[in-house]
Parts: sequence; C-alpha cells; structure tokens
Amino acid sequence: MSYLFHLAIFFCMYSILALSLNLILRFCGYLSLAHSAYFAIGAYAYALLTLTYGWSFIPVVLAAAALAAVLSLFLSLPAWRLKGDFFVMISLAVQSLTFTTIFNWASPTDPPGSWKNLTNGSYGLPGIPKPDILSVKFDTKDVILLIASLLLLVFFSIYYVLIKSPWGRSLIALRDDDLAARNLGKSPRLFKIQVFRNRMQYGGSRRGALRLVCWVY
Amino acid sequence: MLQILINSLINGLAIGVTALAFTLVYRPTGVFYLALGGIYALVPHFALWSISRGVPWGVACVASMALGVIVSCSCEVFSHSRLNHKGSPVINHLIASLGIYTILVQLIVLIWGSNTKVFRSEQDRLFEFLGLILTRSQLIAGLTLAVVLAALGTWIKASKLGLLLRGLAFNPTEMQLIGHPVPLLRLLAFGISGGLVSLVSLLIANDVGFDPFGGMSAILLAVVAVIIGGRDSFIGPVLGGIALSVVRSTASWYSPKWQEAVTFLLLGFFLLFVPKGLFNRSTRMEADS
Repeated sequence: MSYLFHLAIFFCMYSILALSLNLILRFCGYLSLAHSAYFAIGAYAYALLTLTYGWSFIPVVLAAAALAAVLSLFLSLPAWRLKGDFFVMISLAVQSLTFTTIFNWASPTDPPGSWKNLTNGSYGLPGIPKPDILSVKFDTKDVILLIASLLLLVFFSIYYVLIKSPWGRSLIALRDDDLAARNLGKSPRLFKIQVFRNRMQYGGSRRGALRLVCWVY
Repeated sequence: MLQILINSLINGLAIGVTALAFTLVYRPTGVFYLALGGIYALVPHFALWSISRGVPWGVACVASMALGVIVSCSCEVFSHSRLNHKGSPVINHLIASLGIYTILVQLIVLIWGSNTKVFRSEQDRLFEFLGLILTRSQLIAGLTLAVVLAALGTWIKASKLGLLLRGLAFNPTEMQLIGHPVPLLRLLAFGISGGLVSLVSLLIANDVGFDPFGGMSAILLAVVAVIIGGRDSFIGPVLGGIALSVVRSTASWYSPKWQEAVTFLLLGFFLLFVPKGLFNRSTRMEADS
C-alpha cells in the first residue's frame, strides 16, 4: 500500500509538471529544456529559505514559485528572437548554466546555506525541516497524497480555464498564424511572457510540493 | 601556452569534424541530429568488443565505422524520412532523434556496462619537438582529422555529389522539382555524417577513453561550434570548433569547474547577438526574408 501511495503521489506531481510544459509546447510551439533548471531553482529556494531563514511552508512555496517565474522571464526575452531548434539550444544553455552554477556554488570550509557555500555542491542541502500548515504536520504518505491530489486538481482547473478562455484561444491563434493574430491586435511578445511566467509558477509550486514527498521518505 | 594551443587545435579539429557531421545532416534535412551522440558512443564500444573477440584492430575499426554508417542511415530510413513524409514539424525530428539517442545509450549500457573503457593497456608513446610534448594518439588524431577535413572540403566543393548536397541544403523543394533523387541524397548525408562521427569517436576514444554517456556532450560541443562558426559555411564550424576548444582550455587553465559554464555562455551570446555565426557568408537582405 505504501508503494501505491508513493506512485500516486509521483503521478500527481509529474502530471502538474507535464501540464506546465504543455502550456508552452502546445500553445506556443516551443520545446524548452530549461524546465529542469526552474525545477531546481524552486527546490533550492525552498530549502534555503526554510533552512537559513526559518520560513514556514506556504510563504516558502509562494516565494519559490515567484522566484522561478521572475527568472523564467530571462528565458522569455530571447524567445522573441529565436524559434525551433535554436530556442531549444538557448533553453539548453540556460539549463546547463543553472546546473553548473548550483553544482559549483560550494565551499567545503563554509556551512551549507552561507553565501560562499549556498548550494553545498554535489552534497546538497540536508536537514530540511518538515512542513506544517496551521500546526498540522505533513509527515505521512496519506496526507501527502491528499495534498498532491488537491494541488493537481487546482492546477488542472487553472489550466482548463486558461486554455478555454479568450487568452487561451489567442495563444492558439498566435501559434497557428503569428501574422494573422498580430493583424487582429494580439501581441505575441506579451502572450509569450505570460505563458512563461505561468509555466514557471506551475513548475516552482510543483517543486515545493515535491519537497513534501522528500520529507516523507 | 603554446602547448595549450596545440592541444586545443587537436581537440578543436575533433569538435570541428563532429560539427561538420552535424551540419551535413542539419542543413539539407533540417534534422537536429542528436542521435549522432548515440553513434559516437556505440562505435568505440563495438570496436573494443570486436578486438576482445580476436578481430584484428584495423578490421574492428572499419567494421565499427560501417556500423556507425548503417545506424545513421537507419535513423533516416526508419524515423526521419517517415516523419518527413508525414510533414512533421522540425521539433518532432528533434524529439525522435533524442529518443534514438536514449535507446542507443541504454542498449550500450545493457550490453557493455556503464563504466569508462580504454583501448590501450600501456602508457602512450610521447614525442617531443620544439619544446612541445604530444602523445602518439594526439598525433594520429590531428593528422587523420586534418586529412579528412581537406578531403571532405575538396569533395564538397569539387564533386557533383558535393554540389548536389549543397543544392539540397539551399532548396530541397527545387531539387526535387528538377528531378534529383532527394531521398537518396538525404540518405547519403546521413551516411557520411555517421561515418565522420564514427571516425572522430574512435580517434578520441584511442586518446582519452570512452563511456556510454560521452556522446551527447560531444554533439552539444559540435552544435555550439556550428553556431559560433556559422551554419552556412564549410570552414566556419571547423574554425568555431577550434575557437571553442581554445576558450575551453583557457577557462580550464583558470578554473576547470567553470568550463561547461563558459561553453554555454558562449552559446547564449552567439545565439542572441551573432546568430549567423562568425564565418557566415553575407547575403542580400531579401535572401534572408
């Protein structure tokens, strides 16, 4: 039963991640390999804020999602100029640079989480405290599954509303015929920025939720 | 410093030839050929396995290069040409190629394991002249790659097939309309690409060893070299490869752990500010629109 819970939790988590990736791949036609970079940024933001500053769960998840969303704008800027394979390459560059920075921002003589040893390199950040919301501890798999399912439901509802809204239809129009959509007064730049921001908020929140899973194990 | 330059030149030639292998497929077909990374990893594993079965090393090398060519042609026959017939967008080719790469790497790990392997059991012979020290493997790699580059350059510039490949790169639809066998030319591009990357892979494996996961980083370096040098030029990717190798060696001189970061910073810089590369031929404005 425990293993089934484990599978169900990961199903929920990866479904949210797939929704976020689909937002940009399906509606903008961009394949981004930088998703894992924002995933990592969300995780490290969560770990550092709880370990170093003692923040509680909900503010940390919101901060991690906001940070990932802001940083994703750096990727959306070149998206105005690059398309197809070359967009994939720039996203790969972002992913590799993020990985290298996280991997190398370490100093064995300083404590983990300090400025010189922010990520602790390949050893990671151990001892992240277990979360609690309104004094309720999330430390069993059934509670985690409940939270993960709720998150999936919330994100799926948001996704559904977005794609069925005029905003979603505008995105499809921009993907299918950029020029025609522009003639109708739709701005490709603005829409791309909005998609990237929404996508990274999904990724960042999902990462915070995945942290819940890590605490259980 | 001169030693670093010579080492960079040899590594740069390897990156440059891999970059040419990539552009040979990319320009005529539009396929972002990441599966080359799988072929890069497969060839030395097969060669070592053949040698361990008692096959003479020369025959093993030729057989493994032939395997590289066959696998590369199979990618076209069973994947990319079919996607092309269906009118799939370029991103589907990229995902398919990435899938083939993953399958090849997993097969290698299943059959031969994931550990790093070497061809040589003894220390490599050293040659010293003008204060420079080069290993025998480096000399063989440098000379072979220089000869291959010269031969390939001459073939593409002077032969009829080379002309057809260049024509295919510029306008495949028109090539088909005037009756050239475009599917065969595509297959030829895939075959040559597979052969070139097999050769580079064997030479590098002989020098520094090999493992199942090294192919992707070699191909990504080649792609960065193509972007630095320019996609439309023959010599551009080669010079881009040499420049990239010099920058990487210099970065590793100061701090080896930031070598990859420097590579991808360069990639980002060129994609954003010099997207056509350093050695691209200038064209009239309307030719780009």
